[in-house]
Amino acid sequence: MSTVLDDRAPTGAARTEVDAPVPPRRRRRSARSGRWITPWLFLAPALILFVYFKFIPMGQAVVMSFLDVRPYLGNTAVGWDNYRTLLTDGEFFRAAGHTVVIAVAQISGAMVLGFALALLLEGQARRIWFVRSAAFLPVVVPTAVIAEVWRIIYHPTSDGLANSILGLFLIEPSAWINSPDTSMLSVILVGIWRDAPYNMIIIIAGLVGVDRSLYESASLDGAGIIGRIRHVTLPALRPVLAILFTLAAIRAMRIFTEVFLLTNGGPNGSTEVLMTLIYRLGFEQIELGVAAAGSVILLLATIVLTLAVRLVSRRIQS
Amino acid sequence: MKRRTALIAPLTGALLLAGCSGMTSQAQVAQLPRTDQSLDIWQRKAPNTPSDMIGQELVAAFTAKTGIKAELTSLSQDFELKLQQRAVQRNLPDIVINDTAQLGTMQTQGLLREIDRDEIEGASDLHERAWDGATGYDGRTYGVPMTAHTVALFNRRDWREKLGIAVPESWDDLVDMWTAYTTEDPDGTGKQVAGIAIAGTTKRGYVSWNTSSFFWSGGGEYVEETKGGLRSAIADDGSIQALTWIRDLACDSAVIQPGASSQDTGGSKDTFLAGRAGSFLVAPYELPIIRETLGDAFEVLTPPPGPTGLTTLAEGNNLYLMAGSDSNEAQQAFAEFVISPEGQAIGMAGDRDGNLVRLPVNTTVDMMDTRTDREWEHFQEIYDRYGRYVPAVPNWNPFLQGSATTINALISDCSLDVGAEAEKLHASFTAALEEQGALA
Repeated sequence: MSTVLDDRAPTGAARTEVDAPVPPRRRRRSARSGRWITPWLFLAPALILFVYFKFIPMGQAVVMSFLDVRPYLGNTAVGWDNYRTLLTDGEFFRAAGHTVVIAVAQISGAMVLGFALALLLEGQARRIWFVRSAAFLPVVVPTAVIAEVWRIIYHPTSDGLANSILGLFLIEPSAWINSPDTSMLSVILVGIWRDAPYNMIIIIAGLVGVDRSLYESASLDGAGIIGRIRHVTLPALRPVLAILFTLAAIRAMRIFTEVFLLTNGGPNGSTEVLMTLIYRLGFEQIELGVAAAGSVILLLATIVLTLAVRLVSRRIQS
Repeated sequence: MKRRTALIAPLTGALLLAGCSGMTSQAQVAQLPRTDQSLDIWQRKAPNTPSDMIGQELVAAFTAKTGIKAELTSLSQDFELKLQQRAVQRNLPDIVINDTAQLGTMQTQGLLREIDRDEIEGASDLHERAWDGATGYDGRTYGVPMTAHTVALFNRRDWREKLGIAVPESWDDLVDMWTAYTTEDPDGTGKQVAGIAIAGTTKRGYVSWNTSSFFWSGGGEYVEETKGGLRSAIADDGSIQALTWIRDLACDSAVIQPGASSQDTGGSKDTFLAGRAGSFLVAPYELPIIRETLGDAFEVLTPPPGPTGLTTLAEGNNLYLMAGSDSNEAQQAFAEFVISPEGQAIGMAGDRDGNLVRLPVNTTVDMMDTRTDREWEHFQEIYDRYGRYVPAVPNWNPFLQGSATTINALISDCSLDVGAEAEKLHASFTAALEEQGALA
């Protein structure tokens, strides 16, 4: 296959080497009719990978959700039975409720903390660079490691790390992830701890673009710190926050690893989220059809949520 | 309009493609000539561990003896998940070495070949009881037993003697001993220790599996056989009493280690090995590592009988000859090798850690020929007298998971009513029995 330079690309940025299956001579002859194909050729490598590794499996999940899946005995069509099983079982809605609680608490907590950190750590000084990198560490640590570290922090005896901190304030030791009363809060705290620095970095990048003169004029007009944040910083960060909210919402819907490793949905199902429920149905109870139905519902919910967030943020912007 | 078509087209295409791939039923597999047959063997053990090494020794000896090529893969994380992936690819391993309790799950999915005992050389030398663990609900054989074992109570002898406590002979003695561990500073460090380490997580049903010996000894039953089939016995008086006793270990006497409800077997073993708990109910595969860590500071006790006597959980591993293999003769040859005195001796691995054969299933093998730790005989005796396999239901998994969820809830939330939780579990057991076509 020959490699050519696409000479019809309008700017230098788009002059990229591509694999072109069409020989140059023939292409020149049918330049007009071939124009529509150019963007598709650029997209082809990504599209082929997406189709094979994303869209086909997604389609397969949709098909599976209508089958009693038995890879070796042959699948049988069961219509809407899998959805019925899932939706008539209280567990699914309980898990959905937990997912929403974790999502709302974790997103708002991480956003507020990330914003506060960003305001504190904005700037060019060398010291700040170091502190900023240290604060960013939780983002680059694998979730599995985070979960193990927090299991140690949450050790439920009075000499456990988290409990000894509580002890300084004369608060009774907590059972953390081992009691249904505190397990949810424990999972949310880990999520906030991990996500806040990520938000911080994106918000810092957004803060750079805020026009400094606006702060000065706001100060001259008598705005205090709160006033400046509310009327200058936040409006300027709106596009950044919109993207952060969208990503966080999608991520929160499919929260899995930390819950799986910290509590496995327990104790007594108090932290069961949609993904741990789907995992349990699919790979512990080998109900692959029902698990697929759960995944399809989750997929639809994610799409609806994403569109909703985009719509709302677009409306706010306009 | 055009945009909508562009969106719908790929989705329809994906659905069509998905519908066509990997969704056909099983076909007969043509067999390779015997000389070309080879084996892909999986065992549920962590890679690069002593168990993995001994497995490799076993497979190498098999190849040396028969000339059949074989490759052993040890996997512990997400074993069932990976097996499912291979089932979807219709490319199962030829042999799977896995727990007896997994038989129903695999058999109901059609992953197993049925075994004709008469065709297996040496089959008549095996303990009849071991064959029980390889028999499905329909009474047919779906595996070849490789090893058997039961649990016993590993206890800190040094702690018990220091506190001047006699070997417990009843459940009351047992709870008194554990309470003394938690209150009388048996290790002299002043640090709080627990009475018993229990794996209390719902993962893989660990907490149910870990407490089933207490459950049975306390008068509990999961299901009961009646004339027309099975019925759930989980909300019967005996079961509720047994569940209450287990719950009280966490809620009343508080002798279970803190954080038990989120710990798996690895975590609870570490708790015992690190001297943070005085007892640990476990199978003899942990004997070498506990001996290595604690030396003579521990003892292996026959658990004292509960209100209805003593029953201990018997289990083991089977060799499952997987469906769809093009090497049926080689599969059978491997099974015959593993149950032979030679194969059993390699699997027992003397007193080394990582033994694959705990108690030999072959009646012609005397394990004390290769082992020196006398505690092995103790386990053999408990297995012979008190061992009991989990009930033969078509698929044990939902019962294991369901009871684990309930026990996990009971030990982590002391405000729950045992009777009410047992009733809920009874409803789910009944539904599972009905779904599996075994309800009376």
